[in-house]
Amino acid sequence: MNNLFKVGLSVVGLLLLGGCNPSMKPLGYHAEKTYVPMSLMVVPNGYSRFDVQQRDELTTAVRSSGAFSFVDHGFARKGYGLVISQPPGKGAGVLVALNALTLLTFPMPYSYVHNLTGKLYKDGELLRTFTYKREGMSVGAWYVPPPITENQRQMLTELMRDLEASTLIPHVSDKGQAALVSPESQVSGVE
Amino acid sequence: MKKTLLLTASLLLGGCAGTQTLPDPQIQVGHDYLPPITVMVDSLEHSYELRNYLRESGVFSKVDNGAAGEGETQVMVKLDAQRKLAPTPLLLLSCATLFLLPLQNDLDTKAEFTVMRDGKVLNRYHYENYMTKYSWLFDLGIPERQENIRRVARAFARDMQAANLANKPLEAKQ
Repeated sequence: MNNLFKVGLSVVGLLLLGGCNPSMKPLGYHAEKTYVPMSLMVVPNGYSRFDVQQRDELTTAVRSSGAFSFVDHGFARKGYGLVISQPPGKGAGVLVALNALTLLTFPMPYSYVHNLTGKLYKDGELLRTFTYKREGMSVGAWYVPPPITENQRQMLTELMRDLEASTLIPHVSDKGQAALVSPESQVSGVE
Repeated sequence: MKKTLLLTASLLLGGCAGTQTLPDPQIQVGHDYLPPITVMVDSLEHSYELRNYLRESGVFSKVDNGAAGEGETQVMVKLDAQRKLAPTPLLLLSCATLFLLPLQNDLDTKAEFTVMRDGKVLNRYHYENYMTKYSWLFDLGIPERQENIRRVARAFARDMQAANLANKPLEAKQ
């Protein structure tokens, strides 16, 4: 009995730790044509493990839209560059932290503000800034998924749509760039 | 007792040395700098590192990032660097010994360099560097991982120097 209880507890623990991680669903935007090779940067570029995780998640989400033919990571002084940042908003406060006393079981309400900014640069000069904001209420409890993931997904989807609608970045149509995408064509020397 | 300790220590230190499959490329000194190149690297973690090692190689007069303009040399790099860590049970076992038990901590890098100018592909280079490394508490293998990327960058710099592509006019290659 005791052993069965232990096994059950560890299974529940593992499920809680691993199964409830709310990873981002794919964006509601899929590109028809790809942009010319450009730079993409998600800031902050990793001061803490959390930042690094955020950066990787946002980068993967944006790239999976299929809008980019080739992505360089970093800020480019030449060519096009997109910098995505999340200015500080408002999140769960002290009350929700105190809710830990009830093991996060009491549905403690809080209001949030989530921001996302996309800045498009060409040759290091700012072309346009896209700003998005989500405000709302949620409760901080272990059975309610935090709204930030879905909000980020929606804002990134809008950013990618607006980026395409703005027609600021040229698409791949040039023969040379096509050669880069499909490596078989146009090779003049192979090592 | 002393002998055993010494033997263990030397075994630990000697057995944990990292090995790289790509030999350290010899770059000739005393040549003129090659014209500037603009490098794009498709890697979230190692793009800065690779560009810095290209700068450090001292072959190019300038290494920029981004898209090259008209008549400039563009280098596109598809970099695939895979960490290979020991399986989790072993990791936990090593953790229980305060990481005194050495663990597999490999890095396998494959890189495809495409040298272009004005949308035309001038040349392609492919490099692979497999690193074998056992790391433990006092030797986490960070210099070895850097060396892995560094050798790839230097191999490319050496081959660019040998080919001298950046100096040649475009017509010669067409």
